[in-house]
Amino acid sequence: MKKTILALCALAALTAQAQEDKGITLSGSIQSDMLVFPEDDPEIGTNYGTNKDFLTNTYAELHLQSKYVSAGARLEYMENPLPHFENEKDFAGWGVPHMYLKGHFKNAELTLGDFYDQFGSGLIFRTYEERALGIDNSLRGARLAVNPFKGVNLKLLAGQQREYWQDRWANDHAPLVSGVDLEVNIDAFSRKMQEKNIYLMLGVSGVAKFEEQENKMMLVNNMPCRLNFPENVGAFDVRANLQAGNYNFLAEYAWKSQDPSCDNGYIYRHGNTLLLSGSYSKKGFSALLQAKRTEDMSFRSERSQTLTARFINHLPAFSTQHTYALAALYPYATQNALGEWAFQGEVGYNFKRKTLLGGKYGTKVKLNASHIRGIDRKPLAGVTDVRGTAGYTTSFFKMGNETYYQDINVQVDKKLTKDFKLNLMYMNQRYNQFVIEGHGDTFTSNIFIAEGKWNISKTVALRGEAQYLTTSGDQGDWAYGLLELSILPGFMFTVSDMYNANVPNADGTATSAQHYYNLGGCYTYKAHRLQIAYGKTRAGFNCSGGVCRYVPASKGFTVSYNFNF
Amino acid sequence: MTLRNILALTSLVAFTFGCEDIKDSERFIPVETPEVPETPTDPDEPAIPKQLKNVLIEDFTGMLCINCPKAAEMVVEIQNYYGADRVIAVAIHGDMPGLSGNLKNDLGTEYYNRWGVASLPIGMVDRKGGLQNFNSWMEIANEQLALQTSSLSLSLEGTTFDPVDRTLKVNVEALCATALTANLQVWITESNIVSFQKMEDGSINRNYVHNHVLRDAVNGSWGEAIALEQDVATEVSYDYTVPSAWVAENLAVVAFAYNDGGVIQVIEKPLSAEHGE
Repeated sequence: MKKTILALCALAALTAQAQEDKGITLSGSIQSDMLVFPEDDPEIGTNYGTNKDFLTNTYAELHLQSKYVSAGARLEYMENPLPHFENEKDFAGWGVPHMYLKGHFKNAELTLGDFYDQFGSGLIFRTYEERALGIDNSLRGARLAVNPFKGVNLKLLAGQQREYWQDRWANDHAPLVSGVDLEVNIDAFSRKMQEKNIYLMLGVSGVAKFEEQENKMMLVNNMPCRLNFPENVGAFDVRANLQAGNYNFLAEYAWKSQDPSCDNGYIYRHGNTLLLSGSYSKKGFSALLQAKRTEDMSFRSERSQTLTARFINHLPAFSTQHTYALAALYPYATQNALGEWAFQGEVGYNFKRKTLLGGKYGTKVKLNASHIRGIDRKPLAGVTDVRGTAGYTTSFFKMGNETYYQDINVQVDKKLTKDFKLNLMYMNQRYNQFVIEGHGDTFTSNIFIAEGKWNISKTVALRGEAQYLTTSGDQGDWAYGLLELSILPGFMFTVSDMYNANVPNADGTATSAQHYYNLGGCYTYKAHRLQIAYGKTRAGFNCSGGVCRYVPASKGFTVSYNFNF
Repeated sequence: MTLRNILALTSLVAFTFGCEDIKDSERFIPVETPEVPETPTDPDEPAIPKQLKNVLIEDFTGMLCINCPKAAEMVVEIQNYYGADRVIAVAIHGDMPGLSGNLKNDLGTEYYNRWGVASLPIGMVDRKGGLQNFNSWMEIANEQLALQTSSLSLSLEGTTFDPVDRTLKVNVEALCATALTANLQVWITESNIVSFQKMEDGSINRNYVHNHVLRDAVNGSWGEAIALEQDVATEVSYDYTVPSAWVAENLAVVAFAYNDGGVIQVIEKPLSAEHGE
């Protein structure tokens, strides 16, 4: 706690000096999320132990930029992390896990230290930070980005991946990741294409991971042995992106060599992903259609790693990431190792104002649907323990019998008067809890949502939400209500409640009806934002981009502070 | 950069990052495991046959510990291969805030403190090499079982249980091929306890089956000292009243002798065997 206060004071002092001076720009941010005086509530299943009055995940960043050189660092403090993080071994700690020095000259940029990057859609390489999920898989090493000719971009990178507070480079046996990415914009070489506003990008990437043999003795088919792991695992990706007028098409294919790991049950097969996407967009109308097939594409820098650490790649999610509370109650987690067929379609239309369906102010309607199911997987004849085998056989275009997730939703946004706007949403969701969470059955939910925003005056606005989820599966029906009062220039007050009648207690011996209430206020002043709330949070999954983390129930005061400069 | 060069670079990238395939025949590297020795025929060998060396796994675990189910799976795997009569497991639940559940007891907490258990799961195999991550348990068990026989033979044959008054009479017979000073420890464990367990993804499995849970020590937290003469059988007995909350047919008695060098020999007798089940 003392260390957090000292770090914040130091940054505040630096901020006071932060000015553009001699071409050097200083920028940064502070983000601190805290749970204060957490309370144990066995009825909702909390268990903090005996000596935790203050839990926090705090981040403080500083960046220096000049014409040729940039540098930055990030301080993180998670000695007593928030409830959904302490279960990851080694997550707790504090220090400066991210720092970099970057040099730019003409059309080249060299980074030494920690960096994030992505090749194409991320099918074989994506390093990123997602604080809500506790993900930071940055590489520490070197990255060179060069633009040798107009329309050609080349990247080369190599390094060791971050795993919480492990000291990279101190471990001679740590896995190494390297990659190269080349993108060529064909339109840069064709005046005709430029004149017709046609853009074509071709890309190719390669990633290699080196990890030493693992001398782990195991019993395979009741035979004591060690598996002979490939020390070099490689992947490549090819892609083409065409944009012509209002149309955009993307085709991308990725392939991975044998990569037996904890994720795939130590099988030896090649992974692959094919992604196709087409969209049309013009004023007042948009349409999107996407398809993706994934097979054994969980790609980590450490084969025995589990949960969210050390992923080298990130496959885009094909299910909508909902923001309404009950629509996000059962989020989908992308099945990289198991494999999936995923389809997503969306149509949006804006009925113009002063038309029959548009009304006085216009009406926006959006229809979205996603359907995700398993790939065709047939067990190998006579094989009970798949470790060391190809695992299964599959036909590329055939689909499995099991639906993993389906979501059909329609949203209507309509301004009814000059001061009142209404959003309505209906969603039908099919959720395979066993595949996604490891327990339970498949069940269907119907979700009804209404949101209204009333501008009471120039400085006061009131927003309300009413949501209802009806289902016969899992914990049954949920109801949710929210009222949010905004008073400009900087105040916001919120009260909400989520109700369920079948909440299991800590050891599952009983259920009870629970109100997950939350009362809070928020104040924003220039670059500062402070939010304080008190209430109960339900246990569930927090997902972002198809990657999910289990969040246990919590109760207490939550404080969030954000500062950007 | 010409199109030809781009295609050439594409092929190079695909080739470079394609990497090696490991054929079916090269995927398994065999590991030697101890063979069961034959009865010695050398007339100079002592007439009293030596007992096969058994191995004790002490699994420090917790009901809210997300990686502990994996450690339990490792125990099952080791026992399935070597035999549950050769590899005897005990799951020790002590008090660790945020990780322990209602299976914890003071005895387990005392062992946590003695061995310096600071995180879960962790364990010991024959108390060799101190606390070990569960990925190492199979290696150590394999090494200990490679000793093949033990100079110390233990028996719980005379142990009886009266279901009426729930009195457990533990009878331990010990016979050693050499003079030995050690501590004899007798524990009671219970299996098939259905209760909650936090799983790896953080969710709660409310129907998890807990096995080999350490319930109590019959002869004190650290056992009692015994001194054995060479080839002289020694017998010790204890009386214990089994609490009514424990399911008798799921109980087992575990007896082992240890000294500073580790566990010398261990043996287990399920009470269901006593009932003839």
